[in-house]
Order: sequence, then structure tokens, then C-alpha cells
Amino acid sequence: MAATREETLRALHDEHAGELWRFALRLTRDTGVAEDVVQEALLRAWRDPTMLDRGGPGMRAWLFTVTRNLVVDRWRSAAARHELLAIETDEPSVADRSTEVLDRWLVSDALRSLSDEHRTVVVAAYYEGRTIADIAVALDIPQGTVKSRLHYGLRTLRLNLQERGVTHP
Amino acid sequence: MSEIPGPADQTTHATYAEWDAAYVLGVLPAAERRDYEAHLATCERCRAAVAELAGIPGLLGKVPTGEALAETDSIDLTPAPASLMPHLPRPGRARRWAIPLSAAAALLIGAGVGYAVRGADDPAPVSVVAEAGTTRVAFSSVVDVPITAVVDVTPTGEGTRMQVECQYGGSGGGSSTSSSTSPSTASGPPESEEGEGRGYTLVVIDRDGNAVNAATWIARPGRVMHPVAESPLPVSRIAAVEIRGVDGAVSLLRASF
Repeated sequence: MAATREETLRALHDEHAGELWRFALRLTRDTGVAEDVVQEALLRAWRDPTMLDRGGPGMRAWLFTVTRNLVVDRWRSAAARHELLAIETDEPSVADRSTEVLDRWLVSDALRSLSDEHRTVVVAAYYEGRTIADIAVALDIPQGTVKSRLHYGLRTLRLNLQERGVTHP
Repeated sequence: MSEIPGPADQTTHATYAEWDAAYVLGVLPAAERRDYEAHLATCERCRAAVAELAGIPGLLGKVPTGEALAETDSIDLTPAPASLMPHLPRPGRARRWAIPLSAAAALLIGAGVGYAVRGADDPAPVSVVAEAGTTRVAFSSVVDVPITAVVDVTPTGEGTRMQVECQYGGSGGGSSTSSSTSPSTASGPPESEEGEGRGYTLVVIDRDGNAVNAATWIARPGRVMHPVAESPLPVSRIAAVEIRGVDGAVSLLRASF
């Protein structure tokens, strides 16, 4: 007996809702809005005719992308309302700026979701500008291990970003 | 260390296979960087690996250093709600859901415009909202259309101002509706009856059942539309607003006041 759509949605909820909510909360900084956005993303999954065909990893990426786009849409429509109320200005579009802010959050979130081992070397190499030799001494590991952790860390980061709908540049 | 690069055999590749990230992050020492670049000239796999990671430093650059160095933030300590299951529409019952206004939106709108949020099912009459207040009411689907919409209702002296926010592609977006909200991989079966270039009408229905066209607009795919309408009726005289097809005959969504 195949699972009903509702059972499938419940399974998706149980597996992903907590993570999606934290993701949405990082983007919105508002627990109520985060809750709202995740519920709507799940509702869209339930309405999507291809939900049952999509595999687990595909569905996860889909939910992240929908959640992200729901947040962007809210920012954009808020910006549009803002522009309606304001006298015309030469400011760059608020919607464009909101995309910048969103990208920053998405990258930050992807970085946080790395394991400690991976995040530590990526942060040390990129943000702190430390050399491989320096990192190797600080962590008491061979330099080859630093390179290896950077290799796997950046690849995981790339996947995390793709899951969140960041595919550029 | 400056040996002439030979053909990239397995042994050579194994030496450099994990150097791609260190290279794109610019942390290889100069001598190793030269060796790696010499290897890249002969190794298709390593060139592909570098190309895959080439965009990552630019993305990392979007995060300020202080934010990247902070290991956790308060969000990691905030407990998630016990359940985030949405209320699923039941067969045979009109779909109704309210879309509360986001706090981010309220912030951007700025002070002076207060929103009272209520679901379409709430019994509270709009007229209890303060004179200058704006009330947001969600539209419910009358027929199965891939549209979600809300209307912000503001009393204006004698009449009423209605700002609709209308979005297409509520169920994953067929190609003809190309929603900005659904990922491109989510194209479901086409729902072409509300396809691109369609016109819509906002109809105001008063308490006596009279329907008046208040605004028309053309849907543009992938965009959130914001038609605005003014009605000479006070909010208390309006029973509902509907989004209908361009001829005003077929009711698609309804927001009851």
C-alpha cells in the first residue's frame, strides 16, 4: 500500500521541518515568519504533483529553494509596497539589496552547517588568511591533512550552497 | 622541485588530487602553487575540480569575517516549534489560509502604517480596526488556480483603498505560469487555463450583493503583481472582494470581509 500524500508530507515534515525552520529563521530573524514560510513551503510540496516521484535528496533541495524564494518574494513585495508609498527616488532597488542580504545569509548558513573540522580550516584559510603551515601547527595535524580537509570542506560547502539555491557565480 | 611535468598518471594525480581547494583559496605556498599549476596543465580531472570550486571564494566574500568567525549564534539555541505541519485543505471544503505579514515587511514599510493581521475565517469585523489601520485579508481559492493573493484594506475617508498582492504558481508552477517561487525543476503538469498574459479583474461585492469591477490587470509570469483599487464604499459596506477572469464572470479567488 503506497503512502498517501499526507503521510508523505508528514514524513517530509518530520525529516526537514526543523532544519528548514532554522534556515528560515536565519533569513528572517523572526520566529513567526519563519514558521509561516516553512508551513507554506510544506504546503506547496503537498500541492506539487511531482512530490511523490521526487527522491529524498531532491525533495530536500526543493524545499530549501522554495523556502528561500518565499523569503525573497516577501522581501521583494515589501520593497514594492515601500516604493508605492515613497516618492520616487534614485536609490538602487530595495529588491536588489535584499538579494545581496539573502546571499550573505545563505553563505553564512552553509558555512555553519559544515562539520567543525571542515569549518575550522576553511575559516582559518579564507577569513583569517592563515597559511597551510600555520594551520597545520595550530591544529597539530600534517599539512597534507589541512589540504585534504580544505578539499572536502569546500566540496561540502558547494553542495550546501546548491541545496540552498545558490548556484552562482 | 621543478621537475618537468610528464603525462598525468595515477601516481601524479594522487599527489595533487586534494590540492584544488587550497589552490582556489590562494593558500598554497608559492613553490607548491607552481608545481600544482604545472600539474594542472596536464590533468583534465584537476582542471575540472578547480573549475567547480572557482566560484566559492567569491561567495565566501559575501560573509563578513566577524560573522564567519562566530561559531554559533542565538538561532542555534532557539527551539523549533513542535510542529510545522501546514493545515491541509480538505476535499469538499473551500481552501482558506491566511498569510500573515512578515515582520521584515513591516520593518521595510516603516513606522506609521500599522497592519492588523487576521485570517479570512476570523469573525472579527474589519470595522473594529482603527481608522488609519490597514487590515490584511487572504484570498481563498474558489476554483483550483495556481494563484495566491492577499489584499490590504485601508479606510480612506468615505471610501476604501485595496492593495492586492497576487502571486502565480501556488502548486509548483507549470511552464505557462512560471512562478518565481518554485524551482525550475518543479514544473508540474501545465495549468494553462490561467497562463501568461491573462487579464484579471478585482470585483468588490457590497453587502447587498452588488458586484462592481474595481481594477483590472494583466498577469505577468514570474512576477508578484500589486493591483490597487479604490472603492467609494466604506469598509463596513463591503462584503467581499473577488479576483475574477478578465470578463468579470468567473470567480477565481474570494476574500470575505
